[in-house]
Amino acid sequence: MADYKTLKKAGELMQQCMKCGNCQAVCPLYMETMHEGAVARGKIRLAVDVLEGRLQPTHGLLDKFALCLTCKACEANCPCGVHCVDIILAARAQMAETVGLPMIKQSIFKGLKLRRMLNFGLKTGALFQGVALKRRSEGKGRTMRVSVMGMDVRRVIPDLATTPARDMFEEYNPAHSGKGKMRAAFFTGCVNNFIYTDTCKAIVEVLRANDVDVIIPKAQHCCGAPVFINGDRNIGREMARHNIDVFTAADQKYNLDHIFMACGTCVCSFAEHYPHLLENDPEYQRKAEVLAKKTIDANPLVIKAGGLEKPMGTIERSVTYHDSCHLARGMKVTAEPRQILRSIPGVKFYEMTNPARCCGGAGSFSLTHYDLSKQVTAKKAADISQTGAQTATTGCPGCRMTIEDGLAQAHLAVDTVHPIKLLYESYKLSGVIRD
Amino acid sequence: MSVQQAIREMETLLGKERVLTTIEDLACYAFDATADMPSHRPDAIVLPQTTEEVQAIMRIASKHKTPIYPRGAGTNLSGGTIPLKGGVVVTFQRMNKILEIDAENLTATVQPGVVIQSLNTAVAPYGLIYPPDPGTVSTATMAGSTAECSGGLRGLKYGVTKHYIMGLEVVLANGEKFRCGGKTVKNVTAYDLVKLFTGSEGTLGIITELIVKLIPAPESRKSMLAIFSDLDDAGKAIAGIISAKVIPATLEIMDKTTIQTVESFSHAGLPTDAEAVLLIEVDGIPEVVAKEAESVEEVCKQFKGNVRVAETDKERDQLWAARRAALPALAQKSPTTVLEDATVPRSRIPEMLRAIRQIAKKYDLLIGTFGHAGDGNLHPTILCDERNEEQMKRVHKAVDEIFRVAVDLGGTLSGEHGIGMAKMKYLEWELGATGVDVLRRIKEALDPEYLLNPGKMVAGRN
Ligand SMILES: Cc1cc2nc3c(=O)[nH]c(=O)nc-3n(C[C@H](O)[C@H](O)[C@H](O)COP(=O)(O)OP(=O)(O)OC[C@H]3O[C@@H](n4cnc5c(N)ncnc54)[C@H](O)[C@@H]3O)c2cc1C
Ligand code: SF4
Ligand code: SF4
Ligand code: SF4
Repeated sequence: MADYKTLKKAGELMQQCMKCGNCQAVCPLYMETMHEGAVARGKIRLAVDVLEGRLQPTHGLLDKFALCLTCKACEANCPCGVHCVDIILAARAQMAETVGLPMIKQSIFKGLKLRRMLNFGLKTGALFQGVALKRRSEGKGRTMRVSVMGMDVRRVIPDLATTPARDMFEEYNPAHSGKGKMRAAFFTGCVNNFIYTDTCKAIVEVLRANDVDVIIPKAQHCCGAPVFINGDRNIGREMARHNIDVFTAADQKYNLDHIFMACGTCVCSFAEHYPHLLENDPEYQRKAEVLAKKTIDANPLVIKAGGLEKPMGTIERSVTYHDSCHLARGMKVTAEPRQILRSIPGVKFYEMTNPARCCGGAGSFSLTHYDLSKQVTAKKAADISQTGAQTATTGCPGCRMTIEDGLAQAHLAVDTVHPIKLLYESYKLSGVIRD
Repeated sequence: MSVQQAIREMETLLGKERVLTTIEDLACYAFDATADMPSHRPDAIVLPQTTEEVQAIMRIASKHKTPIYPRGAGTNLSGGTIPLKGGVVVTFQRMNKILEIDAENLTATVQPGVVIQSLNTAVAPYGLIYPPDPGTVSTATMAGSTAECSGGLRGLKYGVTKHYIMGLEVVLANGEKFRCGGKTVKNVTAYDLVKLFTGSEGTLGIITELIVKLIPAPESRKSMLAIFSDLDDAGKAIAGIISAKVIPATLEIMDKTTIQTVESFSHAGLPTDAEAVLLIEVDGIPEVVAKEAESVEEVCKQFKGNVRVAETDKERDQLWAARRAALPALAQKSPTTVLEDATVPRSRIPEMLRAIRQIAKKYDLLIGTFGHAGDGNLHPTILCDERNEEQMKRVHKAVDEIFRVAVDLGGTLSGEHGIGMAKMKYLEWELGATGVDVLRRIKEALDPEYLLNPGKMVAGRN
């Protein structure tokens, strides 16, 4: 990984591309648009043209670089091992710094930067969502009455939690046994915090049931990925430094074994992006690296803590699993969530075709390119529906949100949860966890 | 400007969404997979969805004398899709429907933009295959590979694209369309126009529909690797296998430079001191496969080859992974990879390999050679850096010499990648002045204004 270097530094990476076009076979955006400009090969070419002075930085060009889910499918299929996403991110950053991000993104990102504003905004949002959002007659979630933050009004978005996850817990949540053998801090990420509190609750309790003391630092903030992935490195760095301060302090106070996440994007932020983002800031880079080494996704952590050796109750359910791009190709976490699901008595696991193909969400991509994103998501919904599974699981709340929208658009009654939520249910049935 | 007028008319025809004109889009279609080629931006890219639209596009183009460049996936290796003289790129990715699978007649009817692999996936449930398998099966289109007459790994036993194209619908430069060939195995009505348009590299007409031949999938297969410490022994083994009346589905060779590069790239367990390795696969009915594999093993041993047979699917995949890694591994070693496809009669392979080695030495270049030994189709691959002008001069001289040798050995300029703009200047060596003039007369009979893919294969009269 060498992202967030300037475009010039990414120049050597570009040279490795032999223009073979293999990336076309897997790029979800190419499949929808059939535009060379949507696939890695085309975007790399654009970056080369900028570097060699044949193209000038413009908003039009930034739009082209924005046309990427950062799903890394191209990288996984590239015979030359080209780091396509690094090149695209470097190009976005360079463009954004030269011509500025579009106003709409600028104002969203400024808002994200201010932690109190974000927390306050989303908490009050939970109370007032009825005003702006229409409850859908069928199933969960709402559609918008008016477009919020540039989101498409057709989109089905989940309800905001009235109590965010981080408010449901203390900072220090000792193991149920009172004899913690491991200490792990939870970076919830915003989507889990504000929407999928069920995931947070399940993971915290499952870990506590396995002799883990769980620490939830209160001052943590959005990881910043939506900001720096779109090219605003400066705000991204500020958010990174803030989280690094908060978790370094927690580490000093509690002597942490791990920092864990239940979001593919957040976990990549800590594990790979922060150290690169801060490469010109040795002090913070060092701290970032200490934290990166301790960073782990919740699925492997639960297994590591012995979570599969506890008595489990039977859950009769057919289940499938969607691999988040960042978890699967960024963190190489694919086996663990399946292992968890398969070890729950009664669960029948069905693999969908192309489980690791991007769901189309990709954070703010689905905000800015809803139609395109929706087409990619429709394929995922169809793949899920073909398995006949009652429940679709995924390790990333971003994917879950996208998939819920896709399932709703296709009028499919499939439930969506984090794999550990099912383990939690199974623990409750066996009495390992009591309410 | 008339090009702009043509583009406006195409916009009226197709709607703005299917006519791309921003400078960023144009930049994305200025190149294809070919290394060391001049690039040029088109004035527009259009994405038709029906034959009628293609006809209308051609009518507009001939009215305004706008150059047209048909394009599939843009994976060709002869500069065949570069819009050298400006004008409009017509890309067929949105005409990608499989129209019919006729299992009784063993044919499929497809639109031009169908990806080869999608066709194979669709016919697999019928126990059938479409054999042509260029290294780009998962991206290359049916029309692109037909216009290029692509080969692939299975050429020796199963032939190349032209052996599977039974019928075509073609739109001509003036917008008229016609059909030739069909579903019958036998068809000698008039000239073989299907063959004329197959391999015509987008210079004679636009393919808008194809009827292709399918065959039953082989029931079983067996792969093996033979290692040689002497080039001539490898050559004798190739000849020996064929003399033993075995036609392997694939018979691939990698030379020393390639072996060493692949090994340091992917640690596939290849012996780095070997002069050559052969990769061989036989397929068919299990009993025959067993017998043929035995013969191949015997022949290789007879010529001092050290043979490894893949016993499991996993071992087979490992062997082929090493072969598949050849090009990417070589490509990783340098910024620019000039890949040629000079082809010689099978019996002259050792001579050709030695000549290439001498040329590499003479021009102080690193050249790795691998390829389809069974059909004499070699891929000398020159590792260089297009930013280094002095080196590129040597590269160009080396390429000239490689083609000279290939033709002198009774071979051909291109086994499967086509002429495009990359090899035009050598055509006379193989066809003579009269032969080149025949090309020109055919071209001018069908496309007198040179509107279709100008600057490729047939040079104009100036
Ligand atoms: C890594 C790599 C490996 C390869 N391996 C092989 C191999 O093993 N064997 C082999 O033979 N080739 C190989 N190739 C070359 C290439 O893949 C083939 O030539 C391929 O079949 C081209 O298909 P395409 O759809 O990309 O066509 P394009 O490159 O888009 O076009 C090829 C030609 O067809 C014309 N064309 C496209 N569509 C039409 C149409 N509708 N009507 C008329 N003309 C049209 C174009 O004008 C152009 O001249 C390889 C290429 C790469 C990059
Ligand atoms: S990014 Fe990789 S797969 Fe895509 S064209 Fe370049 S080398 Fe080929
Ligand atoms: S990261 Fe995903 S969306 Fe972006 S170019 Fe690669 S395959 Fe396409
Ligand atoms: S990646 Fe998404 S969920 Fe995770 S913190 Fe950042 S914005 Fe929130």
